[in-house]
Amino acid sequence: MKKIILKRLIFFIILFTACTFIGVTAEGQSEDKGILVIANNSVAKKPVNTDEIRKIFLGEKTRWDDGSRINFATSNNEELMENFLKMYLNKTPAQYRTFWKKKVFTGEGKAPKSFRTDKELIDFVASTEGAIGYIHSGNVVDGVIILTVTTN
Amino acid sequence: MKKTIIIFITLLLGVLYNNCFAIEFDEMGKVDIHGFISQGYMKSNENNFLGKTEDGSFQFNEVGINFATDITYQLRLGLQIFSRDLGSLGNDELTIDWAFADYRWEDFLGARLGQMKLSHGLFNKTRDIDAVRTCILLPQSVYFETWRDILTSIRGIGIYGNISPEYIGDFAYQIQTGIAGLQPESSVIGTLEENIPFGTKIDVNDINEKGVYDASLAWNSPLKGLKLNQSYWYARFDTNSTFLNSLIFPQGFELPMDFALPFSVAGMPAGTIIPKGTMLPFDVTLYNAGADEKIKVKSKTYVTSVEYTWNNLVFISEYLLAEYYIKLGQLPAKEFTALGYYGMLNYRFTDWFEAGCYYSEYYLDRSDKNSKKAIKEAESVGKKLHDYEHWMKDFCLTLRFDLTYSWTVKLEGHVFNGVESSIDSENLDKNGDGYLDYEKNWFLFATKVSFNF
Repeated sequence: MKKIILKRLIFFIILFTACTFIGVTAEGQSEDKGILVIANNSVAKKPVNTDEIRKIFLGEKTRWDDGSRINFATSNNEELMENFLKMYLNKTPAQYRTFWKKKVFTGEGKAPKSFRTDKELIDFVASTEGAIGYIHSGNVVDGVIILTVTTN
Repeated sequence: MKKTIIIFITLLLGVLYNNCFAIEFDEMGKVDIHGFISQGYMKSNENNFLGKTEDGSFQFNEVGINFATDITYQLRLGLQIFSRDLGSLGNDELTIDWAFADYRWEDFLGARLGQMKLSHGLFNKTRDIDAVRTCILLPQSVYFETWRDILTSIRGIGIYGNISPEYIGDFAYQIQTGIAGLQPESSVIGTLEENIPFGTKIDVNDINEKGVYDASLAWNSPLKGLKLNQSYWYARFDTNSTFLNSLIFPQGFELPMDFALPFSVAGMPAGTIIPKGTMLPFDVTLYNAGADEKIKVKSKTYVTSVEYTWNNLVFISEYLLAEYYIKLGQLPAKEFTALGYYGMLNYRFTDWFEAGCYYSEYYLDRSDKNSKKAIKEAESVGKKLHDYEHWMKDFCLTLRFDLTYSWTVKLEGHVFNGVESSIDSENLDKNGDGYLDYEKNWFLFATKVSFNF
């Protein structure tokens, strides 16, 4: 048993090193693809990176830097959702829904709010402290701030 | 009746949903309500598997409903009521699936108190939720149904969190301790009753749990789509049991340990020590039917998991080692390590169609994969055993159809070699030849309809 654990540990160390090296050296691009990331006026207007976006929408990052709660919202527009998830979370819409169903049905998370139209999502973000969401670019966005998303 | 009420409430709430995720009753203080119902059917050409599947079985359903609310933005309370029926397991009994308070201080540290799902591989926490995976039956090499009652949840306390050091990906950890809440009618006790050393039969009267501990560490690597997970759990319990038949070492049997005669035999007074290795010159009855004895059980399980996602393609592989220790009274302990592994591929072709397949192998004792040792042990006490009763190889193909976000239909076929993970009491000897009524190669068809909100 100890031999197996040791072999497995060596395997993980090699895999860990390889994945870290490949992941860090891979070039990442944050293309616009017609998506704006918006936030409530209470959120500090500073760039967020793609990793933070991923963690927020997977429920892994729950607080802003000032300690206030993050309230994130998703879109029900299939095309917008698909582009956003592909760009930032490396998930398809089906995989994302399954991810949150798992959280909900194990009690380990709360399903995100989702909205059918950009206007509904903008209204939610504008009226909810700490809120963040995404909409089509080209929208008139009053009452919210547009966050700049940088690569890691 | 209770299950009918739960099904009715779940369906009623389900048709009132206003989005695909939840029903929120603001008037009730923002309680989130979710639920699911599944009904399946299984048919096998040989062997009964988790039900009377040779005749076709509809005893294959799950119902669950959960309620959760945020007391503060750090404190959340929730519970899920659940019932299932799978052959002789579950029998529609209403249970609390999970119920706990969750307090999250920081992203890297939270605590849970109550009844939580136990970490065991990638799928254990959601094993009862048909909608969140491609296949109907999970690979039995890692997710054996007969140990479900000890794998399902833990009543106790736990900590968890996410840690994200720069450049090396993210880590999610969980550590829990408590008890499993085993009952004499639990499926794991049924499995224990079928695996007592020397093939004897017992009936468990009560259980004294010494504790369950589990831990998991997941790593989302910097390589997009690659996730690794390691889980571990340990359980220990004692039982007070009654022998249903006598445990007899027959004449010619080689004693596995020093044995003190409980009464005078063949001129030897009670208390005479017969040394280990002695070939018995006569039958020796260790326990008569109706005698009581304590059984100690310990189990440690390790599961290593890899998941790689590339667009609509998902590859998953898991590897299990499970160490068992069963000690009946003063007899030598039965110790063995089970081995299981599988590889799975799932691909989503369209919004409404997904297909998946897996190949799985499981061996009850990795040091005795061809069952020679087990057969010899069984024959030494006059029992009969097929070699394939201690392994199970399974090729599975599944087609999944998502009619809507909430409705799912699945079709699945399995080609099996071996019958470990089957339940002996569902396949008793019919021919009078002393062997359980198992065939080595067999096929199983399963279908399931699920609804969730």
